[in-house]
Amino acid sequence: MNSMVTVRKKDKKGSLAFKLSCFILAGVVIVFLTAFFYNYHYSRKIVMENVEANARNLAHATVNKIESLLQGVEKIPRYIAFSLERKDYTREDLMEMIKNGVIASTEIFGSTVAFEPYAFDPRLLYFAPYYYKDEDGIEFCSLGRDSYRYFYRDWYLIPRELKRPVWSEPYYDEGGGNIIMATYSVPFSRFLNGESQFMGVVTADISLDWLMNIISGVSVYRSGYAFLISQNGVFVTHPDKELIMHESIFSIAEAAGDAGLRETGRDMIRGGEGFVSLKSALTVRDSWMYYAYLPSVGWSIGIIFPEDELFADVRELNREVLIIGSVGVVFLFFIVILIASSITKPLRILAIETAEIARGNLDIQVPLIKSKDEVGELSRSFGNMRTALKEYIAHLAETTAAKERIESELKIARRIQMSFLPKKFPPFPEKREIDIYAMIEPAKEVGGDLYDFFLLNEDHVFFTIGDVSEKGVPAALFMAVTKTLMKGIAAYGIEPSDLLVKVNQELCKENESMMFVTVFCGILDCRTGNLTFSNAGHNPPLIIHADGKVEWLHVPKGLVLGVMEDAEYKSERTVLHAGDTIFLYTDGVTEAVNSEKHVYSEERLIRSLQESNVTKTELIVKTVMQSLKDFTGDEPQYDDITIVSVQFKGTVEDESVTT
Amino acid sequence: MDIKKHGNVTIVTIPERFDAHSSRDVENVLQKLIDKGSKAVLCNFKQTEYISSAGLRVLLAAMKTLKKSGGHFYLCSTSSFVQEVLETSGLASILKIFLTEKDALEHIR
Repeated sequence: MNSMVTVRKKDKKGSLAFKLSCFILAGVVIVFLTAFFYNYHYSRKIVMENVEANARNLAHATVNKIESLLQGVEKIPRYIAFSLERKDYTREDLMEMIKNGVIASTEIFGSTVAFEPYAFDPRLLYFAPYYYKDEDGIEFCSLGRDSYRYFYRDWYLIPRELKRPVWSEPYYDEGGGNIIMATYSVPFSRFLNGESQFMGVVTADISLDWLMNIISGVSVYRSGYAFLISQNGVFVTHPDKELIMHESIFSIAEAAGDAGLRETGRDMIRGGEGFVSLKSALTVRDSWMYYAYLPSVGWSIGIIFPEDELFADVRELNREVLIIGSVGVVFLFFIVILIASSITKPLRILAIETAEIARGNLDIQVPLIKSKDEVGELSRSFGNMRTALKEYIAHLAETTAAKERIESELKIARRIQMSFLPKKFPPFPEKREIDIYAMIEPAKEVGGDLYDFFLLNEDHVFFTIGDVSEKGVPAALFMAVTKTLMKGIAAYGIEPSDLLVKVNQELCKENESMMFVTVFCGILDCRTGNLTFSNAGHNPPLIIHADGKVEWLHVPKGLVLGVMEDAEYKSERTVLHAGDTIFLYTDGVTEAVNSEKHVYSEERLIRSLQESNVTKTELIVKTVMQSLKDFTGDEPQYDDITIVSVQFKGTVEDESVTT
Repeated sequence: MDIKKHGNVTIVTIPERFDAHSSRDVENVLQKLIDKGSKAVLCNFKQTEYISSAGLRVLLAAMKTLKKSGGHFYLCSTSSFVQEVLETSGLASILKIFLTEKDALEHIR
């Protein structure tokens, strides 16, 4: 149980559900982020365009407003100058004109007509009556004293030189109202003695405080503002009063090392108009500025739009979209995991059960997954496979058991068959005239080769060797029948050929399978060495003489037993001398192959017999067997190998003679 | 296995090894021919290098079966090894063996 749980936990990271979720989410996140950033970028762009348009409108509106106000301011001194050039006037007229001008215009702070030295009154160096507004009302003072020689002032000199009305730079005036002001000066002249003579300057002052109030009325978002700079870039109005008159846009740019700001300033005083991005040199936060030119006064207005306020809405929207998106992604994540889990849960169950089955537990119940999808299919196939596997294993077990039964029966059969064949060597110890040794090596567990020897009477020994066609159980059974028949039919006095005839007739009965057996049999008279023998299709034996010479025994031709009921057989005779050995074998010996597919062959057999220096039968047989084993090596044995060796030692008389 | 007809004689070429493995196939082929009613079957041993007792058994069975149905069974082109096996087992005297295919066909006609 524990191992099962471990499997599940360990595979969490690699689980299908997790992987699927990750991939889907990765895709979704990529798509979402792409859309998001695209949207953000383009909404910024759109906002910027709108902002610029709005800024432009605001700037133009403000410019127009200020221009119209300033033009209003310009009218009064112009009118006065115009009048002064065309009319005669008394001192009182003049004073009244000036005073009325100040009263009439809400914008004008103060006004004067400043005359050239001695131009108004030859006795007077200075004559510049000045009316100005105060908390109480209209105040008067006379400009022009030694500490204030007005004709050296810019507001006098410049229009005098340029011979046209001019707005001054803002300045601090201690002569008049003791405030920061800007002055519009209109020069006037008189036609005297045939030529135009400069008489003086009519001025109208505006206080910058007043101007600042106008400007501060321009509302730009929450913390945006407008400011004015003069023809030289000096701050005329600004929310930060410290800057007014003390700093210029250039000094700020210089202090911050902001070349861009310097450029912008230049463009502004050149009369340019534009929409630029400002970084914290001039403004604390990143901002955008729209600037425009006031042509009448030659100043520029700059309207500051703090960037974060500009894009506040867009940013807010995007933040909300991002939050929605993130929540959506997380939500999606769980949904995907849920779905993937529902798919992989049955798979996980199947995996666990497969593990169980692999362990050998075939009886585990496969829970039927009823869904109609592929997973359900898999589960059903799985169940079928399990059943098939069970049946197969059961069948296999049966077959194996049956096979083992057969094999054990075969082992028993072999033992029984071996027990048929004479195993006791020497078989007839009391018969010192003969020495017999035999060996059999069956190819399968039961063989088709046979051999036998037994005494027919006191002096006659019968021996035989045979080879049933094919191998295995059928051959073994046929072999058993043949051997039994021979033993039964053989008796003293029978010719070997007759034996074969009779055995053949019996074997031919009921022999539908067409099995046959080769047989060589012989009867040796132990007293004389006379050998009578007959052959039914078996390979001829060899005779080994006492001197080591090996020769073939010539056998009569005869058909294998079991084929033709009326087959005929012949007997032949020869004499064995003392020390002669008759060597019988089956073709399993001569047709044994080695790894190079060479056969042992009759030549090698003869050579082996010639080269062995042994005389004892047992050793002769064993030597040949060993030689055969050396030859074949590891090659499997295809046919039964049987060797029978019968040595005639000579008669008892011979023995006594030799000893 | 190469099987061809020459008139009313069916000639079967026996494989290189006529042993326990191939004897079953040869047996099936011969059995089918006999079932189909062949009256003359000639086994050509020109390719055969080795014959075992399993092969001999198949030949004997074929001969007996053909004889029963009134047909004839012939052999030809045996190698020296195959011929020796046939001689030793004595089957050479009960089977009709010819030296060449031509001889066999001539005789059969």
